[in-house]
Parts: sequence; structure tokens; C-alpha cells
Amino acid sequence: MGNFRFPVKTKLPPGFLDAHIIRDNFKRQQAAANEVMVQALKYIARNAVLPPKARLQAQLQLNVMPKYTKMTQVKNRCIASGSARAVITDFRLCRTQFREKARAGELPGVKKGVW
Amino acid sequence: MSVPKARLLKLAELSAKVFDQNFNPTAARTGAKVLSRRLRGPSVASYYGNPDFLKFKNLKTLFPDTEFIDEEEQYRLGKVEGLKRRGKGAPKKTKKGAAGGKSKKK
Amino acid sequence: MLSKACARTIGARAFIRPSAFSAVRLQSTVAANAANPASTATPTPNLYPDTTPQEDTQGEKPVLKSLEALYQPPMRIPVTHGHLVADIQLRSYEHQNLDFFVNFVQRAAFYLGVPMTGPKPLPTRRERWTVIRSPFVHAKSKENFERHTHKRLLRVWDTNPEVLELLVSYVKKHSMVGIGMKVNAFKREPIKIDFDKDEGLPEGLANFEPNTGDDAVNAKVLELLNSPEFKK
Repeated sequence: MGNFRFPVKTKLPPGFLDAHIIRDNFKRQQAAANEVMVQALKYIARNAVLPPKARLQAQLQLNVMPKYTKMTQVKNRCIASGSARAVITDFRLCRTQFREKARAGELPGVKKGVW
Repeated sequence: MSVPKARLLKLAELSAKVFDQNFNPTAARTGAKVLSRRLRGPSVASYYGNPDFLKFKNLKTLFPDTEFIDEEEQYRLGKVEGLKRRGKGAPKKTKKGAAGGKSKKK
Repeated sequence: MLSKACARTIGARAFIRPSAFSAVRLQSTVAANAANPASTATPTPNLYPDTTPQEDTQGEKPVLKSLEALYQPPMRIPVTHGHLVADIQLRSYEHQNLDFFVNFVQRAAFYLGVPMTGPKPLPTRRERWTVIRSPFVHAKSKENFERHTHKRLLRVWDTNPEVLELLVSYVKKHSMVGIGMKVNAFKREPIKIDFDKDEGLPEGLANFEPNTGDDAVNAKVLELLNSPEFKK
């Protein structure tokens, strides 16, 4: 594959792939891997009982960490089309994919709504 | 019949001790909010599915004696073949690569 | 209230223990109940009502009572002590299969000698989605989809943990496609800790890890605070 475009090598997910999904997947893996560290630093930084120097140190370390280690960078995308808009979280599908799959009977239990 | 405040505080402290809760009467910022949050890592990381899920190309290495047919690939190859026969296929590569396309535009 | 503590195990996974022991127990229990119900000492007097055919009058081949029972609603063993042992919740998107399976579970419980009440229909969960029909613009035309999750609650009373385990593993073995099961098993234990003495947790609780993720963050915080950078 030659050069890998992200700083840490990550396995590609199965299913539909496009640049956005690959990027988001990378961020997800990194955010998950660094979550414990981020939470611990946040706890030290937000704890007013601890000495100010330790809190400052924690905040500095937090700021130094790359953006992709933060949970806020993660975006829910459609796993079948990569679209980032109108994603239905229950199925991880965007509205068009959801509609097509539901009509084709590929989503268990989902029927045309009549009420 | 008023209960003194100190007594109520003592009660709250004991109750917190018994039920394993934080006792923080001055509402100091202890960061407990961060600590008590559930870790989201595993669910976030598995959003797109397991990366080690078997792909078609892995089948051949796993079962070298068996022949597999990738229907989608067959369909694509058939389509390309049909296009070529009708003279609508991809242009042949020139020796200089991309230069051929550019020179035509001039 | 405080003299008893309830430990709660969620999920049927905790109960699976494949062993030859289970199989032997199953057979022996069934045989004792099915072949000769009158002679068993269990406190179940009216298990077989008048529905069984009279063999003498017709002169036909005698039918096994357990076989005849298949055409009747599932029989129950009455609750005697009122000790709730487990909640079994079954869920499905379709109620036909669900009702059939609930019936099966009730029969299995009866032949295992387990007092069971229910099925209590729990409120059906209705999820609805409204999406735009077209992939692009034309947002006035929408389409509705819905999904109903039907739930049934069965409650198990006065049963040994081993028999409950047996019942759950048997039901799991014969589970149907599209039906989910959740078992909440309740265990009663007296409180043995004296909080004022600070003796530490008892053995059972000391190994218990409520949330490993939390502990990971705790450990990380300690490690960071003890590191030379933070000690400066």
C-alpha cells in the first residue's frame, strides 16, 4: 500500500469505503485507544482539590494531544453510502439507504408505518 | 421542632458512607463528573464493524484447494468485455502515460 | 430491609454450563413427572384436570398423558413460597412466534417442576421513523416506517439456582430465530459487613468488578499523579 496517509496505521473496515469513512474510522480507533488517557487528564484538570501545578500540567498535556484523539472529532456516518447527513443512529444508515433497505425487507421488523 | 443543620449534615454524611456516594457539602469541583462517565471507546470503535471480517480475497488463501466464484467481479468483467466488443472500452495506454491525453487537448 | 441484599445477574450467559449432569437431571425429572404423576410426592394435586380421555369407554389405544397435554394450554405448578427467583423477558418483532415460544418455555418449566407465572404482556415498544421519499429535494413527500417490539414477562418462583440454570440452558438450546431472551436472576444473601469496623469487602464482592473502564481511568489518574512530571 505504500505510504499510509494517517499518522497511525489502522485496519480498513469491511463494507462500503470512501475517503470520509476511512478518515472517520481512523479517528474512531484513535479516540478509543486514547480515551482512558484523555479522561484521566480531564479529571485531574477539572479537580479543584488537586494542587494547581498538577492541574496546569494536565491541561497542558491535554492541549498537546492531537485532535484525532478526542471524541468530539467522531461523526456518525452512513455505513452503506458514507453520507454524513440524516443518519438514523439505530441502523447507522442515512435516510435514503434506510428507506431502500426497509422497503426491501432487509431490516428485521421494520415495516411500512400505518397508524 | 427544627432539626439543627449540623445534625442534618451528619446524617447526609453517614448516608453517603453507607450507600457509597460522594459527600460534597461545599459543592467543590472534584471532577467526579468526568470520572463517573461511562467509557464510550469500544462502541465508538466498532461502529463500522469488525475489520478482521472475512473478505472474498481471503477465501483463496484459506482454502487453496477450492475454487470460488465472485459473482460481482464476474459481472463487472462481463460488462467490460461487452464494452470492448462494441468498441466502447477504455482507451489503450500510451507509452508516455498521461501525456497522450493532454497532447490531444491542445 | 437492610438485612437482605439482592445480587442481580443480568443476561442468560451466566447460566450456560454444558455438562453431562444437566442431561441426566433433565431426563430423570421428566420421567418422574410424565410417567406417573400421581405417585410423585410433589405438592401438585390438580396438575392433570379432567381433560384426559377415559381409556375404558372408547376401547382405543391409551394416549400418553404428556402427549395429550400438548393439545391443552400449558400446565402450571402453583407457587407455594413466593420467593421470586428470576424474571425471564422474551422479545420479538412478531408476536406469533413469540407466543409460541412462550408456550414452549412454560411447558419446559412445568416438566422441570419449576413454578412459573405469566406470561405478562409488557408494553409494546413502537419505534417510528419518517424519512423523505426522494433522495434529493421534494421534501414534502415523506414515508413512514415503524417497528414494534413485543415483550412477554415470565417469572420463576421457588426454584434452586441449578434447576433455573438447567431451564435457561434448555430454553437457549431450543431457541427460535428472531426471539431474544433476557434473564434477571435474583439471589438473596445476608449482609455480613460491619461498615464501622472497616474490614474491607467480603470475598465475593472483592473480586467483583462493576465497571472495568472506570477502574482503568482511576489507575491512570494515580499513575499520572505519581509520575515525576506532576510531582515537580
